Amino acid sequence: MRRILLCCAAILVCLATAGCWNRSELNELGITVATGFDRSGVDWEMTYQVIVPSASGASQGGGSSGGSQPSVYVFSTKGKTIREAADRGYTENPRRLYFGHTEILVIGKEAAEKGIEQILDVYFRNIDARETVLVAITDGKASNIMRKMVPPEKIPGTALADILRKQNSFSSYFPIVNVFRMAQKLVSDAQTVGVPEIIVTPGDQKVLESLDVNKTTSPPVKMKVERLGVFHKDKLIGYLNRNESYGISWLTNQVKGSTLSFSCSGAHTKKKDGTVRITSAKTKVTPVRAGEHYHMHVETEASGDLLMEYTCQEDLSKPNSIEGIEKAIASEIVYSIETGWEASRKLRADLPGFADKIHRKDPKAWKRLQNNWSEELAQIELEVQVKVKLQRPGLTKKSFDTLLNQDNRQE
Amino acid sequence: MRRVNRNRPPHIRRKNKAEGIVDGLSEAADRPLGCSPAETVVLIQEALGSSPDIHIRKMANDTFVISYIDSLIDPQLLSELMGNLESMLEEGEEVRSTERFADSISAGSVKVASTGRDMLTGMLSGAAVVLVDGVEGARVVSISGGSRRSVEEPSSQTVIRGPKEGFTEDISTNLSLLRKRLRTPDLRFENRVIGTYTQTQVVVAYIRGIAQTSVVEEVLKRLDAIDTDSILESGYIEEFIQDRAFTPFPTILNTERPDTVAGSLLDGQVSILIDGTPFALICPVTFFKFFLSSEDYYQRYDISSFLRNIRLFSFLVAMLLPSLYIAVTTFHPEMLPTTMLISVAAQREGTPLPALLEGMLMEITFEVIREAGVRMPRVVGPAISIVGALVLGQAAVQAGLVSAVMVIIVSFTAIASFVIPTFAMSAAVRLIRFGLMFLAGTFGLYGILSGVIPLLMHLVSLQSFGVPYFLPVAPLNWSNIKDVFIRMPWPRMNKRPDFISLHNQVRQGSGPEEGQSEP
Repeated sequence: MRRILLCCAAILVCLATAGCWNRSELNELGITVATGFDRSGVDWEMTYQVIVPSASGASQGGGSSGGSQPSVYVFSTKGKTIREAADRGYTENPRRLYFGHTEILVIGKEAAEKGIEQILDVYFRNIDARETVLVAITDGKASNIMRKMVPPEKIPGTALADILRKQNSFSSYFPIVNVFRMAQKLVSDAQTVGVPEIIVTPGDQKVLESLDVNKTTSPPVKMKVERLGVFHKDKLIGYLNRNESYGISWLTNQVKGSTLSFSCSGAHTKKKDGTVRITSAKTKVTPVRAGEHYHMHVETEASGDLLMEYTCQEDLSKPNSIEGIEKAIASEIVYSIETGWEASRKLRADLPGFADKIHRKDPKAWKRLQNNWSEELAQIELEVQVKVKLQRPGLTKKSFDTLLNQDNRQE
Repeated sequence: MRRVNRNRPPHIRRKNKAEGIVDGLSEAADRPLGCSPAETVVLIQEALGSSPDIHIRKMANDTFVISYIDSLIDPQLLSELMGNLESMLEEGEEVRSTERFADSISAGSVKVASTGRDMLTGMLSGAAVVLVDGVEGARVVSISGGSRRSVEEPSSQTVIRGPKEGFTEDISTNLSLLRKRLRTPDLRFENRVIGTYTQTQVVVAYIRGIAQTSVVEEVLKRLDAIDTDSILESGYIEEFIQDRAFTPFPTILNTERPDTVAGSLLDGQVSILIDGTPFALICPVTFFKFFLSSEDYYQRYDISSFLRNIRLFSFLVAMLLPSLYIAVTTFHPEMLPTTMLISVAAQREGTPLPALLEGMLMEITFEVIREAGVRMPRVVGPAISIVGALVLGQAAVQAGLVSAVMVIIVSFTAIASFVIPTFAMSAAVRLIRFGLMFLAGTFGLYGILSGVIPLLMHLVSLQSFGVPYFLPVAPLNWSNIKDVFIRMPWPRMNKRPDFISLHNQVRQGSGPEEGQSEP
């Protein structure tokens, strides 16, 4: 009995002395959904998009009505270092900033050009910041992006992250990257990473900063993913446009799902006659030695549901014509990959991570090439092989083009 | 120190029978009865006092003296007894021969009481005492009657499909309900009378050849060791004979369903029926038995298996949900999906109390409402539901005193605790819940684990009459697990659970085809 009492006393003392050690009630937290990093001179400027729970969720008993208040509150703080700037936030914000649910991290142009080393450090060193946060850059100030709404979504930070994720899984134009992957790529041999860029379309910027934007069906300005920013050794060095970025997606095996247009002839023309939905794709890159230099052997296998659209004359019931279409699609993919690589090479950026491939395949050669890598990179040629497999030609076999012409003949 | 005493009921070391409870009977009552009815009548009058329900009637010039307590006997049987006695006199039979006497009485069974104490006990349990002039001892004719409730549907353990009969307060009715279900000569009842004042009849029922003999002996031993003045309900017995007193978990099952008892007896368990209560005890039991309803065996096996798992899930919900909510919202908000966190945070906005206090307050409020619901007169029932649901639920949320999420959590917890078929187990959960909430409020998930792990250790260390409480899961016993999380169809359950009894394992033939597996 005495022992039990002693145990109880010990437990009670533990609870009383150590108890509630890092407890924080939900209504004391400022849940930050998006963070923006800017530089102005030597200062860091942090911008936080903090959720106003009463406006964003189903609000409690007759309090403030959800419609009249924006569901996020945005404020910026300045400081010599990132953490200093963050802690300055307590001078103007009553809640403890909580980064566990940050969905997106936007880096302003100036910060990106000056280097993002500190950002990575903060994210890796602190326990409350997560490395799974998506990264984006912007061509102006990140604080500008933070302040904008994404109608009709309630929480812009989440919406932006969703936009990035959705385009990644449905069109794969811009490969997305989170803080962890970003750091991983920057410290790899290639030292290069592509980060999607979010911009606000030109026009009256203020419109997106007020709830009034919800009163129109199509706001005059909007935010969208525009380019792929290329980082080399923690600094922004240039951009790839959508088509080029798409090629990089193919080249780096990051196509999860996409739609691809092709022409009947199989050549790369402006006019496209059909669309295929890529449902799975796999790219394998192997360095091949060519004298002192290396070539990259790129093997891509893609399969897709044919024909979300098809207006060519070929008879789809014949294997020959399917093969023809597969070739036409393959040539589109080859073209795309080459465009992407060309753009990356022009920036002297190793976006596909060839450096690591060579390092892994031939460590000795890598030691030799290492010092002169950017020259070496310029000389790498691709040998692209694409195999496409079409499945499911859709519900109709013949295209309407064929059917219409048939009718003409009968008449 | 504790280990030594575990299997011994606590009262043994507390009191000796010799210095035990004393009742009002004088020492004269223990002496053999003489052959003079007049002396015996004096003894009766001395012992029982002058209560108006005590009757002493004389027949045929004191040849017979009949004494009974009229509130305990059946008047019809009494008049039949009188008739028997009269015709005995008319026919001039030899009334002094006990055998002849017993054969001539059709009103009830006849026993001979040699001491005054035996005779009085007989009278107090509803017998008429017939004293015959010149014969030593008293003849006790059982003509018990008095008010008794008819067999009704059990109110605490209801089923949709299955027998609707429940035990009553009258033990002979209860025994007949069991006999009707188990028409085997092997069904045995061991009778004991416990309680100096209440003289309660306690019957240990088991099936000879199925129940483990050692368990039956142990039960009887523990019952015999009980030395108390009163047994009013099965709860008294349960606390006297349970293996371990300081545990929130029941180690003896109680039920008011005869079919549950019959099923348990067929599994090799032992049941204890107590006069004066419809609740019978079943032992030994394991933890998982508390989650079985007798209906599990009457419904199709698929839905039964599903429901069993729902019950186990509800057990966990009832125990853990409020503490998980507190832990996650105050210590680990990163564990919730963002959108969920935002809606929970929106609910929490503006509530004055921290989550732990809010949870405690709501849980205690619920316990109060629940207790009120049990204690209050039936007619005010609707009032409580209005006050509970509207005032304390909706209005509290609207006033911003508690968050709606907390109301949801508390309601779900409450409903989940009602799913557990045995009340004793859900009572255990109710208590544990508060402790876990406190731990969650101070240490978060780590606190919950530091409560749950010792709890689990406690559970696996418990025993019920020598059977480990957590069988067949710990220690793992694959052959018996088919009646725990899932219920196999009857043709597949060929053996009785061997952790309860090793005797007579085969329940039915184990033919290769399903259709032929009936015995």
